[in-house]
Amino acid sequence: MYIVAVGLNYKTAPVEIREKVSFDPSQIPVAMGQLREQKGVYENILVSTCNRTEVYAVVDLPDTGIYYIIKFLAGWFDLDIEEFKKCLYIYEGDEAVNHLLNVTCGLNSMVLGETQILGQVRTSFMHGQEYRTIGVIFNRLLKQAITFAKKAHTETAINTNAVSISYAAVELAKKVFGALINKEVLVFGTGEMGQLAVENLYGSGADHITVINRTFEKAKILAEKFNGKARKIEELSIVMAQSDILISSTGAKDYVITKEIMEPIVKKRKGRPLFMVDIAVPRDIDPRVAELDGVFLYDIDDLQDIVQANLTEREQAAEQIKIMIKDEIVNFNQWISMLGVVPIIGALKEKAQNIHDETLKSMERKLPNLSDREWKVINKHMKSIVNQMLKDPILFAKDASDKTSSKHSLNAFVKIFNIEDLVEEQKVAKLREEVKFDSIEDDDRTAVPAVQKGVTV
Amino acid sequence: METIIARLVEFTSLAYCIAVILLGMDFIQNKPKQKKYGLWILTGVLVLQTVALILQFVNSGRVTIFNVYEGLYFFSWVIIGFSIMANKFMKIDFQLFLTNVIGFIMMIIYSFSNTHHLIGNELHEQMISHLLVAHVILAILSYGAFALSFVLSAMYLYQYKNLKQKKWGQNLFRIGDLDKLEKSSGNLVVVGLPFLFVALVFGLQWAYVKVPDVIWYDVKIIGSILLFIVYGIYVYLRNVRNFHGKNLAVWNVVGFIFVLLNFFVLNSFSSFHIW
Repeated sequence: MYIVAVGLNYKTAPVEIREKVSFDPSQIPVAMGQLREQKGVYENILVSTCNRTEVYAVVDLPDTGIYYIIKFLAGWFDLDIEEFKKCLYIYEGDEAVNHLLNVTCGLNSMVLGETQILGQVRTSFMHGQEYRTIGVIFNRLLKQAITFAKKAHTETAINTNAVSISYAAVELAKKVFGALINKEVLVFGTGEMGQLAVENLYGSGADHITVINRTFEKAKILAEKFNGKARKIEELSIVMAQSDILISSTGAKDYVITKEIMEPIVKKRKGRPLFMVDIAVPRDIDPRVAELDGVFLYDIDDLQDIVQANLTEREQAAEQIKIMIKDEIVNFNQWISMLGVVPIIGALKEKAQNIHDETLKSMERKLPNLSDREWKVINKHMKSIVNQMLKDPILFAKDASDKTSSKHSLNAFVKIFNIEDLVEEQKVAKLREEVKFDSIEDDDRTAVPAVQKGVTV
Repeated sequence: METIIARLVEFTSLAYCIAVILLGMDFIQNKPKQKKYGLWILTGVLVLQTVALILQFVNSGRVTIFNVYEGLYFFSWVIIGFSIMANKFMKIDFQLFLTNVIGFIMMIIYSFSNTHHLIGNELHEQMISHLLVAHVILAILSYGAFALSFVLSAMYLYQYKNLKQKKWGQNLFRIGDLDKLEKSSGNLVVVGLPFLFVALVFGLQWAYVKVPDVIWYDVKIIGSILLFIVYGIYVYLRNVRNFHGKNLAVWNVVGFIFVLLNFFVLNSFSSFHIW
């Protein structure tokens, strides 16, 4: 069996296609259920957001599995299969796992490092468990991906600091005031960008908002939106002296707030900081105002610079995470390898135990007069012989599972010890045990993985 | 016993050095793990210093704070204790490292002074009294609060500069906000000032009782009163006149420079003050 990923995202498909190929959240479990019925698809999950639609699946054979997944998606969205294929990316084996880990960590998102996608992958995983579209392999892989993404977000700077202009203003304000609650915010002008910045400030706890605009009626409408007050433009200097934050976005052609206007205001403030954001183009605030003590003035370019600096930091963190992903893939492959070798070791031990038990019974028949102590000694020594005999073959099997030629070596191993039937029994028992542990009842579609290298399972 | 104390002090200095290096690595490269290890070692250093102080007390039969070098040792103990507490309750990045750079310098001067085993020689036994012990301890506690306050004010000025000059980067986001830095540094001065006041009162009372022919215009007395005035003005401007911002932070930095002058330099010109 093989792991594959088939999908499209904002990099491979224009918005016209993406909006067509998008599942309503309520449709996702239904679609996953139907995907499970496709030929050669053993396990699957579906992740669908406004920027991506992806199917991850464990399939019998990659080509067949991928073909039926594409056919299913094209059929679901009523698209021409050949046209649809042009927008798709397809990954197999390690690449598919790598893609899943990248997606879950937000490295494949439009906003690098965002965490929404982690929630969406988690939801799909829950659907997979609930609707039984995932088995042993995806149960493990998705748990690993979600845990790893959380770790990546905690241990690196991938999700710290703002990457949007309006939020950058909030972040800067917080660097001056800490909490924004009870801070006096003055909104000067009713420009769209200014409103967006105020919305973010309001959302971050700044709830004392005053609006001043040349047209008083417009100021009143905006103030009502934030439960604030509207004041007349003549009161600008008075309100500025009392404010902590000023957001300016008027449509004026020249500077409205000059250094000369600000000097007496700043003097009255006795060093109390004034945070000013000039989002207007052309600018409303004379840049010389920034020379005054306690005044922190930023324009739209400054905010853009912050966003860029934060993005650079996120890119550096993304590189760090990519290195960590390599280790995760190795871990997953090791688990897969062990998944194949555990039933073999179990079968070998079972066979040895059977021989041991039968030999003891035979001895019991032939030597009925032995005392309990003598039986104990014989039993102990026979066990010791069996364990010593098995030690090296078990080590060999464990080593072989890590190697490229593991499939052939382990097949030979199984044949030498003649334990084919026992291995099959062990695999079924292990599968039942794991599925029971994860509270999923599996059906006969979840086949036992073969032992192969890489994520080919 | 003296040899044991000397080895213990050397070992503590080494551990302190490692702790400061680890904290410095976090300061430069943003390594939270190093900070965690640094904090653990620092806590160990505090414990070792406490043990050394107790041993010195047992060995000499008195509180060992009666010369400049013993004072330095006690000062570094206070700084470590305060910085660990501040790290726990204020949660300001970099504070732990920067405060302990000061503490470590104090510790190093003490370690290289080679006088810690000659304690008590400078001051006549008869001169020592409870008033003097209280005076020194309270003065050093106030200096500890001022040292921490100085670090926070210096960080305020650095962050102020970052925000003014639009220097975006790790440091801007790791250092706390101006409001928190300003409030915390101000509160520490408000806490330290009464300690300094009581220390001065006890010191003057001790001098009156124990030092015959004390010169009331002695540089140390004048310096300490001036120090009290400098911090008194800071508290007045901050709490009564409601001043904020950069100038207040600069005033606080100047205040701490005055603390260092008073501690290290003015003693040399004093006719009686040797601790």
